[in-house]
Amino acid sequence: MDEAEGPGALLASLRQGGQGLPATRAVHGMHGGHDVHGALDHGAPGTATSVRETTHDGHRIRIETTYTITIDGKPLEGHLEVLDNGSVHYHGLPNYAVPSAVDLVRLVIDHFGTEPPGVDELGERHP
Amino acid sequence: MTVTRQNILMSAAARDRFLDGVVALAQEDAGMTTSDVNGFLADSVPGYRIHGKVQPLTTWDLFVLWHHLTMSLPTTPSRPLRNLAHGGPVFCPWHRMFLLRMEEQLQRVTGDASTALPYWDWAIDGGRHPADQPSAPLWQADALGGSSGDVVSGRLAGLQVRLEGYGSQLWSVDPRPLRRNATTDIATLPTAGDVRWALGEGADVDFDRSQWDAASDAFRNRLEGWLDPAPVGGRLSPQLHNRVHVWVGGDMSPGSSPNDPVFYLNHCNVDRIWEAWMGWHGRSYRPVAGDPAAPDGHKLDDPLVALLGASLKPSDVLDSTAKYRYDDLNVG
Repeated sequence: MDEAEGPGALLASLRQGGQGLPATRAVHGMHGGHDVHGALDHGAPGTATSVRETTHDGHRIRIETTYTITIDGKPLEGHLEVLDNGSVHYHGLPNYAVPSAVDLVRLVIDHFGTEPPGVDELGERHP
Repeated sequence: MTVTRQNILMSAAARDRFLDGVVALAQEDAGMTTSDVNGFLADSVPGYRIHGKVQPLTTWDLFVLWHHLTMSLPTTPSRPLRNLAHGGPVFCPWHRMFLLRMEEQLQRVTGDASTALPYWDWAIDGGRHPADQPSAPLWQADALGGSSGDVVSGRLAGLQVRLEGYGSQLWSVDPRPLRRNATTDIATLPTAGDVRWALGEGADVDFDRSQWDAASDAFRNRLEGWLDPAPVGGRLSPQLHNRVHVWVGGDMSPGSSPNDPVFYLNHCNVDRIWEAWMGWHGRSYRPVAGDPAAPDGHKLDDPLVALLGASLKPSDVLDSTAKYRYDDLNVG
């Protein structure tokens, strides 16, 4: 490839909004989002419901877990999910799964603090 | 041209060419701002946007955006943590495509068609005494710089982070140095024994299996790191790929992890281990095309999410030997 070309050719896909996107474009962490199969319900800010379903000895099992989490009274940004093994995962820390929601919220505070990293100028442009 | 991907600690030339390319891409104005990007994505991914500051982006930043966006797209049907790049079979082919795109850009900016991504064989460093792992040769000034704190010396001292994960959101922030926090969340790197376990230690292990998620006991999920073969005190720990992210910490922790060049070294080694698995098992992939029980976006002929360059399918990347080969596939 020629350096003189610049990144222009690379960017055509982005300028078109991307390629290979699914027909249903729910986005993790979008409050009020709900995908059609119900396994993720992001509900109100700070609230997340996980649904685990399996079968055992011919019986159908459904376990629905809802967390409502606040830090200093403010809803947690993003959502938690419970994995089949009972550990808890947070979308913002994609490589972690820890034994409890308490452990996870501690990690969230350690990694992100409790305030957004700046002023959302872009939100003012695209509310 | 077929390039050769080498161990970054065994070839100073491969290391330096990679770092030259990283620095060039991190300084190259992509010709668009965060506001422009939000405009491009407003219709195609409603609900997703960059938050924070209006500022120009570099080519390097756009790879951060691509990874974060794809990670934000759950599958149908949804399963915990599974998205269109992680937590399911597409983890391997999607990252192979992502690495191919980065490698093409490194070749472009270095003006050298033989430039290849190097890999970090972290299992070798995982064999060191735990106290020595954070000061291993990779973290010296002539390589990636320090493993703890802001990276303000060495070849990557000028690298600036502009996009960072904040919870599930992507924020445009005042440019700042890269950050690492090695050993804070987990003390040790994966070992050669962990790699042998992922490969099945000579036994037959499927590439992936139903339910195609973070609970599947199969090669992909072992390699991605959601299964722990030996929990300590009943407590599960991240393994292999996940463990490297967690061990490095800092900017390797959120979904904006491609900010750190070590992301590419980690994933290049992950890709190398997948290539080694295919050497044993053939270039097979599951789920097959059209499998009605498998998640959309994860099947053999499903399109992979692409923001930079054209979309590929898993079937397009199973055999990439026309583009690159590894110098050594003795992975465990």
